[in-house]
Amino acid sequence: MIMLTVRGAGKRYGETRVLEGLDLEFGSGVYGLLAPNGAGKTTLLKMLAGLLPPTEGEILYDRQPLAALDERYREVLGYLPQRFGYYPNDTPLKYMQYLAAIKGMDRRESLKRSEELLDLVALGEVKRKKMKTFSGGMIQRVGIAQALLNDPRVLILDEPTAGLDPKERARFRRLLTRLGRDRTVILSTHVVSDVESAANEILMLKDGRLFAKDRPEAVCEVLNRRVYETKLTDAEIDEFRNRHVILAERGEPGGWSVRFAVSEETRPFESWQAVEPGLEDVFLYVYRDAEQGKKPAATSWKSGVNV
Amino acid sequence: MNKRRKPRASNARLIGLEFRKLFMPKRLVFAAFILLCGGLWLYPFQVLYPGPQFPDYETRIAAEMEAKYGTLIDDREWEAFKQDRAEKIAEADAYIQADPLFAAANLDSYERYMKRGQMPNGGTLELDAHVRSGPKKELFEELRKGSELIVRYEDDYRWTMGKGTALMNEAERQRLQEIEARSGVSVLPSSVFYAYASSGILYRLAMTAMLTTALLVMHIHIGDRRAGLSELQGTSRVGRNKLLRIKTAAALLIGTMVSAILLAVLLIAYRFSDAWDLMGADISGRFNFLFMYDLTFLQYILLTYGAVFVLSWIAALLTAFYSAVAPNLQLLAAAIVVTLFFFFKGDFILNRLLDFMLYGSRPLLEPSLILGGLLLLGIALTWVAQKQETWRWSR
Repeated sequence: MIMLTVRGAGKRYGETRVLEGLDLEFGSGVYGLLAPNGAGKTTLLKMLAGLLPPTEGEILYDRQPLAALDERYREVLGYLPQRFGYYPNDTPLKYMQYLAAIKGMDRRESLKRSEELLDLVALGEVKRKKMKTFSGGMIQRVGIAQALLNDPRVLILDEPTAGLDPKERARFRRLLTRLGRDRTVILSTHVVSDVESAANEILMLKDGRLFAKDRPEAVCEVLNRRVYETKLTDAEIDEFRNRHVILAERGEPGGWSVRFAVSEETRPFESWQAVEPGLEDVFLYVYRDAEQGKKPAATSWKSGVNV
Repeated sequence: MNKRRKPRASNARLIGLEFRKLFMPKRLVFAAFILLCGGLWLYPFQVLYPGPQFPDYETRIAAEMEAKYGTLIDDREWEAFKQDRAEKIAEADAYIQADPLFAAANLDSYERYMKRGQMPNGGTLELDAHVRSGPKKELFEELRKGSELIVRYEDDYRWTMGKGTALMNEAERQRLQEIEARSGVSVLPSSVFYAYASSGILYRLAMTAMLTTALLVMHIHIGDRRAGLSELQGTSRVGRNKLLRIKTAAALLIGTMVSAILLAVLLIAYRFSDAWDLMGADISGRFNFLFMYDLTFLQYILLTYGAVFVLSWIAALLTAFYSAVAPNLQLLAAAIVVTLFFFFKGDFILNRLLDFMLYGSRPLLEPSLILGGLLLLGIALTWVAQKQETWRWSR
């Protein structure tokens, strides 16, 4: 069932256009929003959370505009901002209870739910310790827990895995999968592995527009037979870097082991070994210009042209 | 849309949570330190307990009168008071007659000593100093203050409207006649009244209340913003607009609490001073001024203290507004300092508000208009803060 609909939405700040012409539909499932820094991910998520009104188009929940729903939308919303804060002397339990109160929960319910969620993110034993003593990962886990306080139907998470160690990331991905079964979970990240296994759909933004929205496997298909690995000598590597998009490289005795992507017209050499493209390969390939500060080559997705 | 959860967090709980957030121990210690340094808190105690060096004889005499004759003193009781005084004068006479310094000055009675003192170049300065350092200091001071009370009693009500009868309007004349027709005179002396009113205790408590309220409320919005809670609050069910109203209510609650605590401190300070015995005395009397309303001193305190509550609310609203719009703590503090300076130093506002003596035909009109106007300004600024918050978020 479609819960959240974005119709022709865009956002501009004065003369600067950040997002434009976005048409999206979100039902139950996990949606991974991939884009490099500064591509408008946070702006889109803030718009979806009702924090920023779109300057064009509209966003609907259950076929009603967010502005008209007001607190009825916020009631079903869970949100983890990219940068969220706390009072250093607060304990996670006190912090959660405050947020539970402003989410409309009564005292008894908020205490029970806060304790459950802190246990869920493995902070139950430190729930009465001051948060100023916590590591970045622990703080981030408190952030994740607070987003779940009101058992939201729409969960929006901006860079939720920042600061989490690999074990915590794995636990978080399992949690996401479970949550996405009966609600809309939208998360932004530039850590591709976070969404590769957990997301039902991947959204990619480029130049303020929607560049891709598809299953992870389908997104990867665009680089089918275009990702290879080979070994190069020190003399070859510089020229190779100029001709192809390097996805990964590792220095080895006597040379380099390189993973790279080529354009559709390129005919592969025999020494090149074709490999399955991953989501990270697509990310690096699509946003190669964004990182280098060049004018982007990729302009469309489904056509597969100019990618 | 799923069904609403029950039960919900009440507004009272939300206000309580915002209220408690402002009571961080460091801030309380800081506020207490500032207020003690400024002497604002201590002032009522200094006035009500001046200590052995500067005893308040007029209050003591009035309290004794109240103990003997009640809060109203009639002509018969007044004669009894003067009789008591005659005994004390006889004691003073005996002291003067036994003292060689007085003999050298050719003085043998208290009455002659006083008359000499009133003459130009009467030459009693040395004797006055001698009495003040002698064993009968308290007796002579009491007698001197008693003389002043007698002069005021016998002056009748002629000056007690703050102006001569010729300048009184019809309402004031009628009020004068009404009070003159009473069988007794209130024992409340003007020194006790002035210690509280005019630029006395009430003024200091108003400053204390405003300053304390501002110190406690200043973090109400900027604190959350600096802590990074704004986005979480903005996406909560309560939302930013309602939260602003809740925070405003919490700020007003702080102002109310601060004023109430100071009122309790004031009443406790009075309770253990001589002035407590005079709380039931009418404020209109020959020893004090004449007022348009029948009020006891306690009722007058409670009525005028209402202005302190309103001023605290104004301080709370203004500070909450600054906290909502100030980009940083430095500018916020500067705005608060400038505003409070304007209140404290601007005679037009604080003195004018608190100095209403309740005489004149419409004594409460001006302060009510000023307080009402300032409150409206505070409410308007709360609305502006809400708009500012909406603007900030849409950026």
